[in-house]
Amino acid sequence: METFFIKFATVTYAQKAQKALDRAGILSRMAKTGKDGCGYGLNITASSRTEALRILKKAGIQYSI
Amino acid sequence: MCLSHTREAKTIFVYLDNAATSFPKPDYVLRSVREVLGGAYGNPGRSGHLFSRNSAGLVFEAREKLAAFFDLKNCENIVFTHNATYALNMAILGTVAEIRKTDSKPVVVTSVFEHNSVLRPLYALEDEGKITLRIFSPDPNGAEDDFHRLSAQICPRTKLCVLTAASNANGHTFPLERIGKALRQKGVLLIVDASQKAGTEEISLPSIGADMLCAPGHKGLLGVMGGGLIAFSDTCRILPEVILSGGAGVDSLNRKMPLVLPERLEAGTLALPAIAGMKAGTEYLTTAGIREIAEREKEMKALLTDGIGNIRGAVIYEPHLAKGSLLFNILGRDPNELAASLDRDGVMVRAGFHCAPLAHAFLKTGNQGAVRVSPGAFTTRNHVRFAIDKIHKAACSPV
Repeated sequence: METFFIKFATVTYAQKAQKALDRAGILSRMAKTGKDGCGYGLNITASSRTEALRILKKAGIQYSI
Repeated sequence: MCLSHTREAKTIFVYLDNAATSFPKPDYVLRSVREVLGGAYGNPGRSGHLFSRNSAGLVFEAREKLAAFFDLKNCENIVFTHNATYALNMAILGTVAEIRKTDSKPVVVTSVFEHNSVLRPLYALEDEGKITLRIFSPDPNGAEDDFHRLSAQICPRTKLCVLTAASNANGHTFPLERIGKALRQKGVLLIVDASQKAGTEEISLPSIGADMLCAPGHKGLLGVMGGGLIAFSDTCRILPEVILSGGAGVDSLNRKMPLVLPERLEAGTLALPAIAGMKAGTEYLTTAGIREIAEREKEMKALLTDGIGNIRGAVIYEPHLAKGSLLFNILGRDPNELAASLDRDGVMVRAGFHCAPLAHAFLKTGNQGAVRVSPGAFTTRNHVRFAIDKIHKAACSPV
């Protein structure tokens, strides 16, 4: 399955995003990211991408892709 | 009353030192802490494996519970520290450092009822020439209210006010909602020390208008020692400068701490067992009903005020105060000896100056301080009756 990765500044923002996506029925898996392995992000299915980013924007949660 | 199973087996004791730390802790809190100590929990927010994720999940839930508890929308505004003193130092020193980027010597206002965890950081800043410190006291004659006494200290260069939500010495409070609103209008930041208030009464950060609220986890919140927090208002007007730097679990190649809360102010490993305790304590308070607990504590203080007030030679400092600790002396008696005598009789209180030297000076307790009696969430009428009886006995015994 094709996946899509969303990055966050801190683990707290990643958790907050995961909860917001969860509420909308979008499953995600948290993972470490970045060249130093010291960032956090969420893996989602690629088909959820548009809806997921819309939810995060609405919730005011900053992310990068 | 409790039966001690330690050194002095089967001794009845009554604990009235809840202003220092609450006792007993609810079983639910203890179970939650034990679960973390013995369970599958790694370092939160550090690694990506299951145990680390378990811990990070617990910390996130704790942030959410505490944010709701203080009426906040954003859980990232809960910053965990190791106790209230750490929280106050980070809030005060960090805020002043940030303010000083545009004003080299701002005026900071505080009160005589502050604990040394507020006074000492402010004294240090004053001694270093970084702030002008103004300390206001209530009107000794009671003619002018605290709001006007505080307002008189505010000038155009006042940038910060640090106030207790309730004095640890005798429960003295200030009209925080009125003060917070006035300070917001004047552009003055407000940091509240809620060490004695958090968990003993409902606190809505938006209602009191404070920018930051600092609290320990082991007092009214019924958690264990080793945890504290800074709750940032959703409308906080400043991001304090970093006072303590170190690992934050993210952005390791950067020379500086992260820019966003909470990780910006959470250097080093979090005190997971204490955070679990705070979370569980908050859940317990919410379930048991914080209003009911507050009413019971108020009733216990009234019984103590009445009972101690009837003892010959007793002086209660500000006996009109309905909540919090009760501070008293027996004329002609050394408060420290009185507390030691009560300890021998199984009543645990605290004598001395309670790390609040200016409060004692204002209240004129004398050169040996006074005795503080602080009921808590589990203090009963029987505890109070037992304590009053022993205080009466100690007061009447030959010096």
